[in-house]
Amino acid sequence: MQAVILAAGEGRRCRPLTQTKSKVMLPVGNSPFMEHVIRALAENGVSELNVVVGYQKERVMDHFEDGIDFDVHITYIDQGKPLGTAHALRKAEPYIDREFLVLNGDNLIDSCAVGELVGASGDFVILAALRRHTGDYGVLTIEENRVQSIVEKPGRACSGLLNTGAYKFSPAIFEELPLTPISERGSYELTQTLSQMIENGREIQAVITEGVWADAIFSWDLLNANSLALSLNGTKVLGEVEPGAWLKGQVEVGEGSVIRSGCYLVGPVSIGRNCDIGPNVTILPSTSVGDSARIGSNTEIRNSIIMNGARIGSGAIVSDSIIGASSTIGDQSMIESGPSVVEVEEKFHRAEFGAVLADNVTAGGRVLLQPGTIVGTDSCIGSGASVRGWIERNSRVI
Amino acid sequence: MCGIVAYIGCEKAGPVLFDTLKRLEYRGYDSAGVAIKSNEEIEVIKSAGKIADLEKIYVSLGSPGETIGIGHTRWATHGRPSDSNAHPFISGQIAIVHNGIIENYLDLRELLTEMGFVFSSETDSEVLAHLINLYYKEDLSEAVARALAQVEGSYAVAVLAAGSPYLVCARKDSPLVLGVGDGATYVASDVPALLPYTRNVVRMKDGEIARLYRDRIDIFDLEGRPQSHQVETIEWDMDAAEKGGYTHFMLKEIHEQPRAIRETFSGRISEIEGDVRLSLGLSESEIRSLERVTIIACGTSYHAGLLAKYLFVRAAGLPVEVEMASEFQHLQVRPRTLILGITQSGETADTLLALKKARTCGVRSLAITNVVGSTVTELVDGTIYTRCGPEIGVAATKTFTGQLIALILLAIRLGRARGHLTPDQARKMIVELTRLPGLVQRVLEKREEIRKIAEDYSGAECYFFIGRDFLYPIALEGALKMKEIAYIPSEGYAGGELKHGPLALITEETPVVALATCGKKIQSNIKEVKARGADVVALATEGDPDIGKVANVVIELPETRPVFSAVLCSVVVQLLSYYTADKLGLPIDKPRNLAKCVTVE
Repeated sequence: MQAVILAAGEGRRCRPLTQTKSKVMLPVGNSPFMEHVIRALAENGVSELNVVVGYQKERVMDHFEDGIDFDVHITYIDQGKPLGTAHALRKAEPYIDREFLVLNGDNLIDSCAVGELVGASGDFVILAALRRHTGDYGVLTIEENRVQSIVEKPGRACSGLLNTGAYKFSPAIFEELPLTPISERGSYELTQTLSQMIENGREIQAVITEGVWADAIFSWDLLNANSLALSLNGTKVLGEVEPGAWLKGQVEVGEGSVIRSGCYLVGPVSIGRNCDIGPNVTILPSTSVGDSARIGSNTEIRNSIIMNGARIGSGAIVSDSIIGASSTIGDQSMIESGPSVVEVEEKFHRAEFGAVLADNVTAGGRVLLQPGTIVGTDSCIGSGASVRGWIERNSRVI
Repeated sequence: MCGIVAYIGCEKAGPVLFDTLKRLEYRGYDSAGVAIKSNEEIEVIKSAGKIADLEKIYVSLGSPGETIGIGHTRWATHGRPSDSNAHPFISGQIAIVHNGIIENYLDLRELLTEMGFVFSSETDSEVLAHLINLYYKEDLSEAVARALAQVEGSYAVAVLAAGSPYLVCARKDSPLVLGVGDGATYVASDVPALLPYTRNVVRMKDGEIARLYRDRIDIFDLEGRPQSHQVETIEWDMDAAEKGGYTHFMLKEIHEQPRAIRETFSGRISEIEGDVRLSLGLSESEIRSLERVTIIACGTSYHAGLLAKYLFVRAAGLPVEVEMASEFQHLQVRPRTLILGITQSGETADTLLALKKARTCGVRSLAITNVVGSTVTELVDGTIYTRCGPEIGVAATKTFTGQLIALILLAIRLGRARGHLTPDQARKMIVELTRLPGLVQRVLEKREEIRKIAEDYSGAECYFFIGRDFLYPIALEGALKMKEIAYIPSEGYAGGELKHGPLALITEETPVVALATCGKKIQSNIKEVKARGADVVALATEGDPDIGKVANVVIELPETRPVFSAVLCSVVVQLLSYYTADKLGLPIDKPRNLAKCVTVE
């Protein structure tokens, strides 16, 4: 079977993490969102993939190349202008000649959920997920698996069946796509295409998934997706664990990494390749540490994502936080966790986390980051500073 | 990355196997072999080295064999490639090729040795060959299934038996594709190798085992239950696949640099100890007694060597001579000299000849190369591999930065052994080195800015690149890249040399690229060319307050130590010449008159 993966969007609401790479490349459970998607497809024997790329496409192509390492074959299609999901899918038309799947590259999905979609019957099938809060997603009303309507962003928090944005289509969809009405934002969205098809009496099926499906709307939501993704991992220690270090529960340690004496790791935890951890570092659930990271002695990390090449000094405490690639946090720094209110795209959101640091942030020694702090790419925070709120890209905080 | 191929059909198997093996070549390999059924026996030909050489051996043996065969390419990332470690492996009447890792091979090996099997190699794959032989009575696929049931780990295997009318293959966590042809069945590790023969493929699933006949495929699970399979028709083309979405290999390889740099230093640095681990084949006292280093290289590698000239004297207190390999024959080698050969392919004829000559002088020698087990490694006491993966674009990009990293590692090691660097100084350099892949990534993100500059000046008759100190070699490299792929005559000069002649060539029509991330002195050189009306494109450190006043265009680079900024500048000049050539519509991956690996003098 063929598949189209939509991977062209930036994922603006995940800024500042998406300033340097698109949302599909943000890591959860130590692999980018899209790697989970591709593995789920490969496990179901879907190997001919068409990936629609756009924003920061080089990052995507550098990671997945021709797909051989993931047991699939990838053709990259450039979306050109970012004009919505229906527009992106139209770009894939020349490559599709039979039934195919459409998946978002920036959602976490497991092979069980993909399998349900592969096995579903019908020309147009939507993968639905039952959730307590449907929040910002389209909500489906269905009767005997036939979709009656798609309500876009009901606004009020309610429980219901949400549209995961994963579909199975016959090539007949390409006749419908050009008829998509333009949205208020000036783009062509697949949900609009489907709504219009329902109005015209076309039959659209829904499959309610029992597998894993998760999204991250804001940058800090990545922590939940990370803990979900980590729970799917097993225990695999390829690196060196020095005597006196203790690994408890599901812990992965990649090739070339060293866990020095006195470290205490409680899973689910995943440590990438070529990391240097410790001595005497405590890492608590659910933490992912990317490749080539360095964590200094006597540091404690809880429920966090530390990306590739990040450095955390000695005696630091990092909780419920995301540290971007190649960022540095100085000795004895502290990231506090707690409730806060964060402004994203001129709206206020309640959240409970520590801090989100984008790529290449440098924080000196004894820095205090208060709950809900967000720091943009390439920023620099001087030693001893106490920081809160939203720090823009390329800032200097003294 | 290893590759597996197999064939059963009506034609002679040899030529088909060699052709499919060559199509896996782009993934890199250092040894290869085939096994072909011949008069109820199995003929095995294998060797370290090129497939073309293997084919010559095959032809010289009178092209033996019939219409069934298997083949293998091996790319050793660690350890030596050799004839004995090359596949296929033979045990009794069967031959196998294998990819993957057998985790419990030590236990199995012990068991099989007790049962009287004799091992000819150190590889885990041979265990599998003996295991299948142990179970092989009449039904080959059953024997393979029973053998695989004993094995823990990953595998993709193809098995040939003298008495069996069919081939068997199986996979788990390692890629394998079957090709359904007209009266023939093919096997390969990836689809592109099969495309000239067939577009109908079957992708095997984990834990499946297949019997291949020339006209049909039967697939079973490990318990022997028949499995259904789907034939898929491939519609994409091969060239585009290998480039992974990029328009040229060169652009792909430029973007691979953060990874290539990280791979080259990882596992070799210890921040806690403030030292670098390299197996140089030199004792600490030998390193201490060195008086000078002579570097032998050609082309881009020569420019990498020039950086060492500036670096080794500061980091290790060793004066360095850098010689073009083709000119080296005229020079003498003094005792207590360390000879260092730098060659991407490990096969550059000029460099090999110079190293052979140097060896007769009784001094110690090292090599930096990207190809494991290449000829150069036989000539020297120790080798530092740049772990960049195969490079296909003729213009060297990621292997150049890989060589710079290898030289920096060597400088730290020599400096530490000679007591010239304190552990703390070395630690600081190592910390900076670990930041480098992230910094290179940031430079890559400036691609649109650089593309615009390249397009603005793509009509230039002549380009100048100037730099001082660590950046002088990069100025030379920038000029070489511009010549190689954009065909624009270019000159690289040390900033201070301009006024001694070349300044006469500077006009309003000659853009000057000034590498200005290292020291302030270059600014007066920029003023000199500015006064002659030339446009100046400056590469400067972020937040440099003065450079904007003297240069027309500034490309800002992240702040780092001067020697590391040389790596960042390299990436910029690579992108600049790439986009210039792209604008001019030139054949970037295969420039006229040039070859990737020069094996003639």
